[in-house]
Amino acid sequence: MTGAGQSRRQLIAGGLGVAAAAAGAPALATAKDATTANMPSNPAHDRRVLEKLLDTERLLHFAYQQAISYGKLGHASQEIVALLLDQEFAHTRALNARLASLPPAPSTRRSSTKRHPFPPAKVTGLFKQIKTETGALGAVVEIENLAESSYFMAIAQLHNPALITLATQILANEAQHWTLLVSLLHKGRPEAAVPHPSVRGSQHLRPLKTP
Amino acid sequence: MVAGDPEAQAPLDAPQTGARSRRELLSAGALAGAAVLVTGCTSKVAPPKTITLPKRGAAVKRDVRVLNGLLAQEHRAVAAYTASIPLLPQPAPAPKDSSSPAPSAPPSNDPPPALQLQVPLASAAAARFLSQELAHVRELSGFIQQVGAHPVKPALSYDLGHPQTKQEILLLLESVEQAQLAAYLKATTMLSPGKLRAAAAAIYANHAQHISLLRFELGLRPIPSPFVTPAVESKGTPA
Repeated sequence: MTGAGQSRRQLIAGGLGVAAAAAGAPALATAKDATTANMPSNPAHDRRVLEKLLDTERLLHFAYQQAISYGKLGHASQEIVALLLDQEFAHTRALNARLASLPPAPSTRRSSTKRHPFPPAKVTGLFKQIKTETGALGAVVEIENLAESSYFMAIAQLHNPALITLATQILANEAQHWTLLVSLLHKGRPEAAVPHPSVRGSQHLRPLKTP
Repeated sequence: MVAGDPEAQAPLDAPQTGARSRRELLSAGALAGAAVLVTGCTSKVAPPKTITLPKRGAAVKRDVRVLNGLLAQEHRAVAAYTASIPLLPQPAPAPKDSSSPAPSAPPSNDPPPALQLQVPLASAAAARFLSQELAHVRELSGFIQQVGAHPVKPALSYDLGHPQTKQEILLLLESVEQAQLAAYLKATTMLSPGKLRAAAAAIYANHAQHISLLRFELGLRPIPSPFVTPAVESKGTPA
């Protein structure tokens, strides 16, 4: 369990090193045991889905780094945000590793795809509203909502069982991030921290209630 | 600790103390309430409207087996939470003299205090999670009924061991959630329609949320890994 005198804050912060060390390994170990539902393989399609998920993770990196650079997070918030950002980096490493194992995309395809500005204007606008610690974390929660939606849709679209498993594990982790942040914002109230029996996220950004 | 159908009058295996009979009554009462909830919910399940499942094909039988395996796990979780909630410390009753509201603090120009992470009340969290397990039962039953199959019913009883303390009860609940994680993670690669896989993954994520708060209650790191991985291998074979 816990050592004598170890605070809950230390327990949360203590996850930092373990999370970094464990990047990628649990997902690979689980994937090899997965049995499939006779899904036809489609590496090109899976590649496109993974690339979208990497865009999602970039958005999360932006959100967490904005919250940190805001400069007015309390000590508990700083530790939590640092831990969660570290886990987002682990997601990116795992997704990139999987992408590298897929056949390369045709050279002309991605260059002809229209690139949208990053970060999207709505996201930049959201973070420009921040005036308080609550607002900073609330903005990150909104981006976690978007991420959950991305992963939820990706799981329905992926063909490779190992990728489905990885996306499921990351969706669940994003849900845990959401829960921890909302717990912080709402004094641990479980009805706020775990509001729905099914985590599907949202494709729409909501305005901050308390910027 | 044995949780199951109250109509079968299965007594709970309570500790050998003077409060034994009261503990049994509380648990049996809770089970009766939950049994009514579960029965009422599953008998009036409306098929989920967002996912249309094929009713024929080789994959349908397999999907039904997988979904019934998940449903069996959810029934066990409902039983575990139902039996556990009355044994967890309950919130203090509200003070009787609340006629005059407390005076509000005068406005201040000082910045608001920094946010602090607070541990939720275990019984409140468990009650919340029970309501969500029941929602999972409804959703899975709806999928199964949509294709014309029969959802598996709860077992008459479940062997949940003999937790005595708050910590032991929370460890029991955490282990029940871990078993669900194992079953759902396996299911996501076995189910055929993409939307059904995603629905299973969305419930997996909800169980991950439960586990993070249970771990926090237990004084453990709430989010130990960036990839939510079950702590035990799945023993939940399809029904």
